[in-house]
Amino acid sequence: MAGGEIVYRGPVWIGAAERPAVSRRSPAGYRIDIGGVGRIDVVADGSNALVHPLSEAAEASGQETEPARTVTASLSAEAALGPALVLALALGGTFCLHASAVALPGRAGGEGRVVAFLGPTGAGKSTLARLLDGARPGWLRAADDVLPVVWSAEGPRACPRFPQLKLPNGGQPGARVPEIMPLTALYLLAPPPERAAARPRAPVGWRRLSPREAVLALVRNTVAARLFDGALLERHLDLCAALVARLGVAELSYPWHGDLAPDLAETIVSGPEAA
Amino acid sequence: MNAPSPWKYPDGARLVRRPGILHRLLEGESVLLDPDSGTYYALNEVASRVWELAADGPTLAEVLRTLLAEYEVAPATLREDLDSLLGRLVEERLLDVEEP
Repeated sequence: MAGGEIVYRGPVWIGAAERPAVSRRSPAGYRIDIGGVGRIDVVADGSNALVHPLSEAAEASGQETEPARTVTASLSAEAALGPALVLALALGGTFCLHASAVALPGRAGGEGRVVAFLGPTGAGKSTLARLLDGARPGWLRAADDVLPVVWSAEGPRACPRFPQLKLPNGGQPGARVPEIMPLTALYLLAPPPERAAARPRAPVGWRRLSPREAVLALVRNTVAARLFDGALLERHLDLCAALVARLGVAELSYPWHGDLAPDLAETIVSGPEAA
Repeated sequence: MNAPSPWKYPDGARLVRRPGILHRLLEGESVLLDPDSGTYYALNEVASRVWELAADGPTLAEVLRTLLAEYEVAPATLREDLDSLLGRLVEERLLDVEEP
């Protein structure tokens, strides 16, 4: 795959460290070079992605080879399950949100559904999904940090089996739920109260974001969007706009302590999804 | 001798959207995306209307007339707000204001 036009030059987060990266787009697809890791090639339709660990990439380009031991198997895996897979999915129309999620039973015995919780690192996504796991019969944590979303003929769908890198293989929450499920509500987690202990009775609450706030919440909480070129950014914007038009986004606030699960569960079943 | 105009942009100036800026309108509000920089911008209802009107390359006077007919607002207030909004859109390289 040839070089192509640079669409991003800056840091990416892999292996618990920021690493310099360059993303290039050509008619053949994307090429991403990540310092200390290697090279990723993703074909234009997203059907194939290859990770070349550093030593192999350097050899191919004629550069001095860095010792292969610098690229561990876990780093290569993180590159494959991070930017490589996320970009390949995006090229196929599935975009990954920074979100945890819970799967809920369907209404009146129908198909189950997914409620997602958006937010940056530290917003409380994982904590919230754990709190709601089992909060009511049939409620299951479905994602910890990354939730792929696609627009199908039936409307928005979540794909909760995406591998969650922060969790061990045996603790992948998506293994317990169907591969693809209706997505019925999106919450943006409000920043945690600065002094939670000083406001022990702060209630669980939500407010619907305005359409422009909601679209911005989705684009800001999409994984690896800075690697996208203009055409992919436009497809991504279309999905975000469609999600906002269909579901909206609500900001969820809660006091971050105490036994919140019952109040949170009640908010979720009677909140924006019901409204 | 004429007093200097208090406005940055004259009434005869023409509003021209910068090519390539993506725009999605949702319930009267909109989000713009500059695909070159990957930067998103959120516009409120009135700013979204200005952006919509700018699609046809109108003069500032034409935009003022349209907005005055659509919103209950004092002409001087609208003129001031529009001057400020255009300044920000130009600064962010989303729109050009071509002098007459």
